Amino acid sequence: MKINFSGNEHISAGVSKSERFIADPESVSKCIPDSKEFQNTGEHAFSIKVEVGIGTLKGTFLINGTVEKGQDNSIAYRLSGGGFGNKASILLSIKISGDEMRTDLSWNADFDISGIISGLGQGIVKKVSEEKISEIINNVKNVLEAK
Amino acid sequence: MEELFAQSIKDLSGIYHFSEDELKILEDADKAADELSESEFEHYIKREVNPDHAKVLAKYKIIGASVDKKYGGRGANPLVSVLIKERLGQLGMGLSSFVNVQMFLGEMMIQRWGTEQQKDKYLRPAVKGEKILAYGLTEPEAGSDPASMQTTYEKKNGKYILNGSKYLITNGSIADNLIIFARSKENKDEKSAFIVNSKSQGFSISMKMEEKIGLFTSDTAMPQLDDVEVGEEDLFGGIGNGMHIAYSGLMNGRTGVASASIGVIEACLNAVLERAKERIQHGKEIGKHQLIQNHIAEIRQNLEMARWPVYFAAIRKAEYEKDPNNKELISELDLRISLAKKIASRLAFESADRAVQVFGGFGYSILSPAGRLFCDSRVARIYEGTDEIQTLKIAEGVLGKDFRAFR
Repeated sequence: MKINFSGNEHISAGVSKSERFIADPESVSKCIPDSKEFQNTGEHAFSIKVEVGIGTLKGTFLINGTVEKGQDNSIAYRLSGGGFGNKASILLSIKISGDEMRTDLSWNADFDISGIISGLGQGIVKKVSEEKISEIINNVKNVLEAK
Repeated sequence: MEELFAQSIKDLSGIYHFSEDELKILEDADKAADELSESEFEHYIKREVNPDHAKVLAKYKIIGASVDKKYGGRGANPLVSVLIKERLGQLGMGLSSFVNVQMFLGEMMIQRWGTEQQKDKYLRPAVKGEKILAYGLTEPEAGSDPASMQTTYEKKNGKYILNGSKYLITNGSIADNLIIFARSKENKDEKSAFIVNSKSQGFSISMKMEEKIGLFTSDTAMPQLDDVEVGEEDLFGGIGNGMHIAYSGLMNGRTGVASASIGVIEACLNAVLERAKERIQHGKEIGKHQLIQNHIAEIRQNLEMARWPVYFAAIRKAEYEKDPNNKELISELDLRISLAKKIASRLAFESADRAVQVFGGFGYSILSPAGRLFCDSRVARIYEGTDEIQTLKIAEGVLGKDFRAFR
């Protein structure tokens, strides 16, 4: 099951601060609900466990990821992993722009999911994922704007 | 807008001109279905009633869309109402059952048979989602033969006193008001209907039917009436008109079930297309295996066979609503509705069965859309008149009333 998500967000925080935060997977991991056991596994690599649940279908995903900073103020997260009969790979690209007072984020995420979750149907998986992504982005925004 | 639903509107545009208002109603139905999809799934797999139905349908002004504008509805004609039910039916028969009873058997019956006072008291709040309605016809001993009902009424001191049990009543335990059918205690051939307040003394729920094999998001209950008092003002449609009212309600209900069955077939088609393109077995997508293609082609064919009889029945129903005393039209409509209901409900169940097959082992779980549609769609061949009753009505429709099998 391939699902694409994209969106924009405005954050009332300087662009340098936002970029540093978003490029740091450990900081971002704290904004992911139900995540645990974050580990840096290399200079730009990490692993994390995330509780995933849709309805009664619940379990833990072990995800390995890398983060790359692009030349055009972009950051790319490549994630792959799975759990309880599912596999997922995600490419998340974030473009960052703004000034010392504000940050504009523009992001695009390509999900490729196989296994039991994909059998639930794209409509349900997309709705649940959108809510989760929105929650993560709100958390990132709240942390950055509070600092 | 959901693609198959949009295609139905486009196809019908060739024979019917949708006004801007009607297209807006259909757009709102699409939004309501989209907003309900997640909670419908969540509650279904927990096997519990979805409490969001009324709230979301009211938010998009769909809960009373078929009711006249003068009572707060949107005046959707039968064809637009069928399309609303088609889209909601894509979420399964649970949501559809709620709407069928609330709008087609509740609101539309009050609009047709109620006094102006009853319309103010019950219809206007129902259209806003502020009152939930139910339709109490079926009894433990009176299913396909509702005329054999045992619930009684008698008049004492200017009030009607109701006693009896109603069975398998959709919205039964969540309704604020129920249209209850009963026979006179003195004259069993005299049947009448009453609007009963569920807060009345003597009204209780003796069983909530939670052991169903589907329809989990819809409430089904067994209301019990023990000396329930109903005032003269809540006699519904006049003394002795009970069966006339009941059968006119069933025509609405059957059209609703048929419409929702189209939605079920569309949901089956959407589910198998997604599955067939993603699931890899024997080194290729299962959609490239010819026997899977057969199931998909049959479901698509079922959709085509199901929807047109329903649309034609709706078009006839619109004519009937303008001329409700035209006996010839009533007979033809009765036939059309029975054809639509029987064809669409059978094809919905067959499509769901094929969808389960395409999903394989996962299809045997209600986590899969195929599993949920399979469990839900079976009831469409039973409620609002079984396949067998529709068959007899179709035969009567072509043979003539002298050949009516059930007398």
